[in-house]
Amino acid sequence: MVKNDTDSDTNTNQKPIVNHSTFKEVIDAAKKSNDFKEIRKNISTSMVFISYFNTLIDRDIMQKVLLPYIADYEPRQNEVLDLHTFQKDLPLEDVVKTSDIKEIEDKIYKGYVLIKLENASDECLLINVSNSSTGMRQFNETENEFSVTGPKIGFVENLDMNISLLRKKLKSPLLVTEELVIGTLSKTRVMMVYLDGITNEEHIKTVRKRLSNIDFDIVWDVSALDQIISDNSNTPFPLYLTSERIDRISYTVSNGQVAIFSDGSPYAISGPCTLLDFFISPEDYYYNWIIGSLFRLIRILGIFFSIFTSSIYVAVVTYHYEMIPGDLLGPLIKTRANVPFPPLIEVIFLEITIELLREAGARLPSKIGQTLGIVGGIVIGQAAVAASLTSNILLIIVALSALASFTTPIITMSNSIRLLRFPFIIMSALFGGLGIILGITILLCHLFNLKSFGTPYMVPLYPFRIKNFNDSFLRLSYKKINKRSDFLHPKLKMKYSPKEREKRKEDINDE
Amino acid sequence: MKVNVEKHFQVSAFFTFFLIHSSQTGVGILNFQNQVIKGAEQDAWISLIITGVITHIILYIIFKLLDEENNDLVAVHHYCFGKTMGNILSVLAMIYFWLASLTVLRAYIEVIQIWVYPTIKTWQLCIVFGLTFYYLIKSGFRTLSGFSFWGVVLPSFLFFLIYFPMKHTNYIYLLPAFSHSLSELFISSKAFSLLFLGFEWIVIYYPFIRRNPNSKNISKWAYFGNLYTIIVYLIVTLISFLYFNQEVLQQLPWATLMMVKIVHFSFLERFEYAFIFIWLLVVISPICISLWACTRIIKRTFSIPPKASLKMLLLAEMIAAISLQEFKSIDHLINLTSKVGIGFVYLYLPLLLIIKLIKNNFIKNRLNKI
Amino acid sequence: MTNKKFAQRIGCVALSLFLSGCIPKSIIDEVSLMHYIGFDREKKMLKASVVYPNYATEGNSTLLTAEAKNPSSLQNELGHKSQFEYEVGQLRVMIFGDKLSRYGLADVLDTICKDPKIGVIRIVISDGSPDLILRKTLNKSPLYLKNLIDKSIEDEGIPDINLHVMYDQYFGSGIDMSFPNLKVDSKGDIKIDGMGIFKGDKLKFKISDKEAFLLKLMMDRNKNGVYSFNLDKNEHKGNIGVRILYGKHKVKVIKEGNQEKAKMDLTLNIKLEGLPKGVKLEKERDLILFKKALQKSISTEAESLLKDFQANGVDPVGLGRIYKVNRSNYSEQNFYKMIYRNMKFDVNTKIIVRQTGVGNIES
Repeated sequence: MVKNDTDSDTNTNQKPIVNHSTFKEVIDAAKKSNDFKEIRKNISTSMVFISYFNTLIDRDIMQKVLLPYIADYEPRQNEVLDLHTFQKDLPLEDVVKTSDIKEIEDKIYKGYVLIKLENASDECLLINVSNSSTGMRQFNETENEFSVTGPKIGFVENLDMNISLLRKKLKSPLLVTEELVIGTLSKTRVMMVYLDGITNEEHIKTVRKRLSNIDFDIVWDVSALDQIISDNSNTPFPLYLTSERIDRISYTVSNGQVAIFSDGSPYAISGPCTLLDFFISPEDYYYNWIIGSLFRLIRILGIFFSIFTSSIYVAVVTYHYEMIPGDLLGPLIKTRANVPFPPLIEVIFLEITIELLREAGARLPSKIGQTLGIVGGIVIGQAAVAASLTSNILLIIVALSALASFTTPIITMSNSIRLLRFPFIIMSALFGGLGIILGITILLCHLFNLKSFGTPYMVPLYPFRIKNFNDSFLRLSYKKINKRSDFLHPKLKMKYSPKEREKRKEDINDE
Repeated sequence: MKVNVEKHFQVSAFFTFFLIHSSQTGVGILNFQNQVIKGAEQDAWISLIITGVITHIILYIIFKLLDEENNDLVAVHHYCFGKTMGNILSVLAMIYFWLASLTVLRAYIEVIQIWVYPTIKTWQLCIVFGLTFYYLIKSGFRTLSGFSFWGVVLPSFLFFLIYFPMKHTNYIYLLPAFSHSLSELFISSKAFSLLFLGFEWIVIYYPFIRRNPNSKNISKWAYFGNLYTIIVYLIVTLISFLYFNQEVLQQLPWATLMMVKIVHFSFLERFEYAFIFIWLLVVISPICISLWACTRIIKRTFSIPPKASLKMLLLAEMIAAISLQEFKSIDHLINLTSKVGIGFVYLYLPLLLIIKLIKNNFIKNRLNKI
Repeated sequence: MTNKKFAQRIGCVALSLFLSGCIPKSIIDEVSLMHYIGFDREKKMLKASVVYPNYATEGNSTLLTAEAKNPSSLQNELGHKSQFEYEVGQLRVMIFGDKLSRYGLADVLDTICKDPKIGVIRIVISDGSPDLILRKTLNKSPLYLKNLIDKSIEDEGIPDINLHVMYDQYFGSGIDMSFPNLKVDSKGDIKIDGMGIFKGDKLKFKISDKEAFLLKLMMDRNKNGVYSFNLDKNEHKGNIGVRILYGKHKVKVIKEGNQEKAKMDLTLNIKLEGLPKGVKLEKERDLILFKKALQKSISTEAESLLKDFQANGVDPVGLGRIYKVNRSNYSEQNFYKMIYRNMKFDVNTKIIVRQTGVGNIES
């Protein structure tokens, strides 16, 4: 548990950055910015102030709806303008009448138009003419979690769009969204989404509590929330699933998890989840269950391959030459003979080269990135072998293990797996095979201790639930995976009940 | 004196199986053969069954000893002997638990030193193991039972290795069968009992097992655990008896590992190295659960926080392990532990049950009189 | 836990790991891996010849020899002569020279039994010094000798002998050691030539290839090999080689009067490859005739081999062990002194002709 330490004392003494208490102060603060516009109109007897940030509003609505509507009032000199009637006839949906200074301030920074009558009470009208799509990407194809078959729609940076995309998949009245505003500077809208009556109350409560406890300035991305609400911050493992795919998130929500969206982030996080959730790709469900299970097993095998091969190479080559089969001895020694470094340096050198390639590839525009992969992979690899900086068997091992780490569908998990290689390599260089098994022990212990929203992370491996194997290691047929996972304690166990097709026991050529 | 353990620290009754089995299997299974053949020779497998059955009875006694009111050893001691005397006895039990942990640790270090790294110093391994085990035990009983589960499931694939020595077995090594007297069988039985020690830690972790409405469940899984141990040992004993003749077993101290030498894959030779490393997963349970039980006893008797006592116990264990340098002294340690263990499990626990029953009667009579 | 404390802990752990992680390394290209080692006795000293493959340069293997009074200092002596630390973990074959075999192997065998680094290696003996044989392997592929022996054991009628079997025979009572014998033939090739039979740790005598195969039939599960015999019945004459595919052996020691009798039943499945002219197996009579001749040949030769062993006082088949099975008052000394000497042998062979090839046999 996180203990209160001395650092937090200074935090509690801090005053909120913005502390305007009167209407004038608010307006004066806003006027410091040049994009704040104030229009004065003389309607009937009173002066009307119309103020807004012209960068935040939708000009179309402003010019075609709001301004003509106000202009309508101008001829009616005899009537006394009051906000109530003004609001009643306004052909816009989100209109708030308030005198709360805090709310006024919040809303004008979100793109509301403020309408205030001079000499009238503190009450003013806030009309939502904000343009949520200005500057937003409209193109919503998945970019990172790619799939060959199945839909390719992903989330975008617009929260409302994301929720509407989700609702298109889950058109159920059970789908509930709860909105919170997080971030002292960013005031980001964050939404938690769950299925009412299916998701366990405990999880909803935990998520709500964790989210509302957040004190943070700018929510850059939903992944920042992920880190802040995480159960254990000293872990390389992601504790919540991050996905940009609609099918993925709607699947987790339908299973009884809680998803969190944040405005401005094309990703959603979903929890509580388990280690094995990260190796599920939506594509598994689009293939026949046999193929799907095979791919899933290959992916899980890929993790082991990725974590352990280079460390096993170090251990065997440094300490356990006895274990090398006679026929392999020749090639191994021959390629290593001219390498001047011990195996540890050799492996670290190559691993870092691969990491550099990956990092450079991620930073560069995609077209150059491909070229870089070829240049880096072939040219550097070949040259390193030719210059006897590494042995070419190791080159194959490291390249393959890097390849294997990319099979993990969730990018955060694939990063952790790549990180895990390094402690294992160092342990194996220090203690050989014993180091690897010690590493496994410590890793297992760490995983056993991890919790995601209070539920154990290693389910179904520990606590052991054999029933959950049919949709974790394997992907059995839809008939078999009609139950929600136990560890989520869903209130409704069954997802659907498949009807038994009429089946006759057939003998050979039985007519 | 009932101990109440919060539900999220408890494990389900199903894990009793793995807890019992994994605490029994330690380093002993790697080299027990040349000890157990001393009395009954090729008939030693009969002794194994005898010891297994006796262990079953002891398990039954343990479940009689623990009840709803007194659900761990400390509580039973308090009930039978009062506070002071009970605490002294609990501490004595703790010393035995600590000794058991030390024995397994030192024996595993010995295996590594003999087989893998002949020049590695004991203190080097002690530091590494000390840090690892501190982390494991610190994580609590739930994590340890996770290890007892995976420490059984993961290494169970090693069973497939039987295929390799099977090709070189000769049944006549087991003949003539049934040719030893009862007293000879008992000598072997005594040697086997060291292999079965470890299940008695249930007297400490019993409250950590979630009770179902029918409390038979725990004992059922415990009996199954012991049965599984018997089966595993029986298979290993029979295979090694069929693979080596008796004279070879007398000469080779590490028969199980010698047997693994024959394992040969096209991509991997000398499997015994991998075997020894994987064996770490097996020895974690006997080392850690016993140490955890020690911290538990200290917490229950003196209310010292487990983290502090764990550090002291581990440090003491490491120092003791380092100070055992001569190879003979390890034999002495194993002998000592087996004697103390046999005394504790096969003599003291039944005695304790008798005392408890007498006390029960005594209280009942007094109540009746009033 | 604050970050600082966490960092401190991580630092402590890392430091202690690095402190304790100073294990002597044996990096594969920086150790001298030997595949073969030969021991012999020369001038009352133990002499070892070691072959290192040169994987790094792909050149010929190197032969090193050293002499010392005991096996342990021999390792040291060898170490003095090699560039890198010398390691026995990849040892494949151990060869004992003739002189040492006759003098006694106990010293060397006891040492290798105690070295856990040595795997399940092949053990052979040689005519003359192992040097001669090892020198012949230098320009061959590094695993040449190992493959040669493995293959001979697999399907050329040499009994399966390795470290495990050696333990079994060396420590076990009621059986004697036997090792395949290597020699360099007149053309300069390495060749497996029969077996050497030991009594205790000393070489007693050697048997031929054919006898080695008969020994294999009586003790191994794998009975693959070619047996050649002279068919000399009526008009059918000629030397025939039959390949034995698989089979079973069953040995019993029974009491007949006041004499013990070793009864051996061999059931062999054979494949015929070539027959002398005139023998037509389609004919029932010819088949029976052929089978009888073969059965008789194997039985008599096996019996005479057993008698040979008896005369030399050795027991590589392990009759003592079989005798022991149903007698609890067995003593090894007593058995070989009193019983084995007067034992009678009875070998029964049953032949099953499984295959005759795909060609037309009549032609």
